[in-house]
Amino acid sequence: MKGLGGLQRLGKSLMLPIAVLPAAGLLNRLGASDVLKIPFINAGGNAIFTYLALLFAMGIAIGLSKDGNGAAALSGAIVYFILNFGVIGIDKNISMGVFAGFIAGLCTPILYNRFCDKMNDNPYFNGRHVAILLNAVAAIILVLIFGVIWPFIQDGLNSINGWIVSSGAIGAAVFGFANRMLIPTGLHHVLNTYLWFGFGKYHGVTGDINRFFAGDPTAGTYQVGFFPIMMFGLPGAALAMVLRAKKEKRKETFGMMLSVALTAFLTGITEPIEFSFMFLAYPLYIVHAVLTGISGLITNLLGIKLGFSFSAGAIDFALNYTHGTKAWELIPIGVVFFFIYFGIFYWAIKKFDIKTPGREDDDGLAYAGAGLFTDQAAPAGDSAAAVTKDKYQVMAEKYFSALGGNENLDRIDYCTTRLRIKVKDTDKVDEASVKRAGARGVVKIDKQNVQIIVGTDVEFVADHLKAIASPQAAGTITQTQPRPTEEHGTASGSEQIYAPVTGETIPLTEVPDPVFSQGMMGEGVAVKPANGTFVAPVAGEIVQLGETKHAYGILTSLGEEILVHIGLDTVGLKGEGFTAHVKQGDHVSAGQIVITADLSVIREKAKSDITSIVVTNSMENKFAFDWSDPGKVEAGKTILFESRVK
Amino acid sequence: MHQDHLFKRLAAGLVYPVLALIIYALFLLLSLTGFGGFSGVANTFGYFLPLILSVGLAVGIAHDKSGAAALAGCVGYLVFAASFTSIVNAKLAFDVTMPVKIGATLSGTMTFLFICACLTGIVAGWLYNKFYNIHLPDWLAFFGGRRFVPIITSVYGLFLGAFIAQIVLAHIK
Repeated sequence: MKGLGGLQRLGKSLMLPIAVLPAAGLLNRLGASDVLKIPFINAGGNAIFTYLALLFAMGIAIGLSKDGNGAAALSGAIVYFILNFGVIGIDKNISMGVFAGFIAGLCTPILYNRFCDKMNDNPYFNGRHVAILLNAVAAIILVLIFGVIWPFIQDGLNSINGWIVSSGAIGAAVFGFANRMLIPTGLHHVLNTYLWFGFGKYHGVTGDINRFFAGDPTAGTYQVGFFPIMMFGLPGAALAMVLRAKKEKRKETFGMMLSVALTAFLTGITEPIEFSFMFLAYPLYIVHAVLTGISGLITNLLGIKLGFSFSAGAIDFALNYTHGTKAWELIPIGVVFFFIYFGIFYWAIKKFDIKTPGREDDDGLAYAGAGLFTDQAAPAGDSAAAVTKDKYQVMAEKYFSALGGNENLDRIDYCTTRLRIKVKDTDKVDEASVKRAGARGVVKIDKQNVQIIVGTDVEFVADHLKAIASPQAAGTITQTQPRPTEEHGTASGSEQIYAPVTGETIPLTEVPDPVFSQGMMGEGVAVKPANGTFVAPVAGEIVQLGETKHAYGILTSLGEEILVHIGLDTVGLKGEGFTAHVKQGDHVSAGQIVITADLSVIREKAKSDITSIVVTNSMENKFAFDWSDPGKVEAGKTILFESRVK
Repeated sequence: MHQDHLFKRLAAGLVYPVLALIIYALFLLLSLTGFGGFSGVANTFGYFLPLILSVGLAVGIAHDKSGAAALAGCVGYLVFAASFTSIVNAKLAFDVTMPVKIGATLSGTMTFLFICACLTGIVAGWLYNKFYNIHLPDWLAFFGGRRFVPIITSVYGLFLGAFIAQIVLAHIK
């Protein structure tokens, strides 16, 4: 949680609660007296706006926690209650509003992340529960601090508010410009949040969006300017890109641009269009930001007021229409912006030969459908395989290798349309391959952070990417690691491999997974575990133990690589039910506890709990094995087999 | 595949309100010092217990204990309570710390709300398991997946509130 990367995760965390707002806006408007006039529907929508601070506290706590668990959300909620009502108890004039939610959400993960993975084998009392209790106590400190200093901050905010109000339409113009200029970094969420949810006060609610829905006639200043741009301007730019595409690619480009223009028009999600020219033609993007500012200026000068619950698309426009002021004027203004955007883009793309979608040089790339590239140069067999797989799975696999694989990946997050990836070194990210895999854009934020603009379906790609990225099926991973064979290769003699877990042995050929049963991972044996304590079967160095904690690899002094793979298809559990007691690089002795696993979780959610013990480098033919068939085995005590150097 | 251990998952969810009770007790104790910061929390925390119950059950039932389920449990209860409040007493603005009166006593009101919170929490958890990987059309894809769960829960909460206020409550009376 440092610097830019931390702020970006904050922005991303806000997505979950913000996604509820359209529901709130919909209910609020549908139930309102000028639409259907059903009070209980209106009240239901308002409840979400009223307790937005609580939802922010939970959303931020989830996003900044290590595991995204519900316990983090609950802890955030409790810290919020304590902070919010504690400071009111100290000084009843204090009103922290949405800030209490922010502070609670930001502080909760500090302790939570420290405890959440401790003592994980008990579902009724574990580290997460301890964290909730400790956070409640720690919240007292927050109450004391903010009970004293918030009155001063409140004064400061009041004067900032006064300054923003007095800046009027100019302020709205500056905001519109700054908002668009921050899009490439993803930091616009942080700027938006203050103006939309924290600024100004009307009947006890704060923020431009909240006040609009509470009926404040002055609200909407910082939202109205987006309607002409998002509903009309950017679709105009999309049309220009279609007409400027190469003839043979025009049809594909049209399909793709229609989908992104429709998304912008209806929902006000504009990133897919913006990223198609943001990096190709930076000056054009600046023009776009300036035009957004101008739209904010004009709409405000004309006294138009309109707000949205999510973004400035047609859905919000229609719902809030009767509630706005002179909202119809946005349509003629929008049509003007449509032609301005169309004209500028149509002219500039030709003039500067900008490689917008459908204009790129023939390098075997073409757009197909909703922004997904098909790699025409790829061998036919590859695409045949792709058909049988989920398209998101295919994308994720391509991103995975383009990002530099497990060695380079640190953390995978996502928000509206982009993957937010933390890597060890952004220089190792192959931008061209990422784009070829279907990305609309790639942004290298700094040395560690990179963002890939995927589209609104990013969540599914992220889920797949997370599943792949967890060091699974050891083989490939240990292969790529430089193996210190010089050091160990000369070793001679033999060593005993003990059972890593108590249970009953099964021949490897009977494991219901061809990867193991056909010996693809190497020679070995399987154990049906009786309990969840997994120990090191032999002394050596832990060379593999990923975040998913479902498998561990040990490099022995003899140079053998022993992999213990707990259960089958357990990579999909993403670490749930597993607790690691050592970390990669540690030296362990035979019988030392490595992982404790909750077998009930594995039995319920994975294919099987059968644990395979294989020698992943047995293919090198350097070792000979003496198998014993012990039947019942005891962890760290019963010998499974003896290996010696040939 | 999540059916077998429903009771176990419910029990795991119930641990959270128990923790909240411990925290509530701590603040009640601390409020004896007379310091406003403590009594401010002690006076209001009890009203949030049904909400925490709803969140806890939603998390417990959710197959992967995701935070999105927690948020759904929270949204579900809030929308339920607001919709319920507006029907029982149209003049009262919804506020968790000022529950609308049902029957003569406050404790009766709270008991009723606890039962309702069980309902909203279970519904939220069930909806999470049903919808956590829903795919929506391209232009709505942002709202697909886990983000869809709090949205759909708000709709259920709304009608659950109306149903209980209009029909169930009327019959009890």
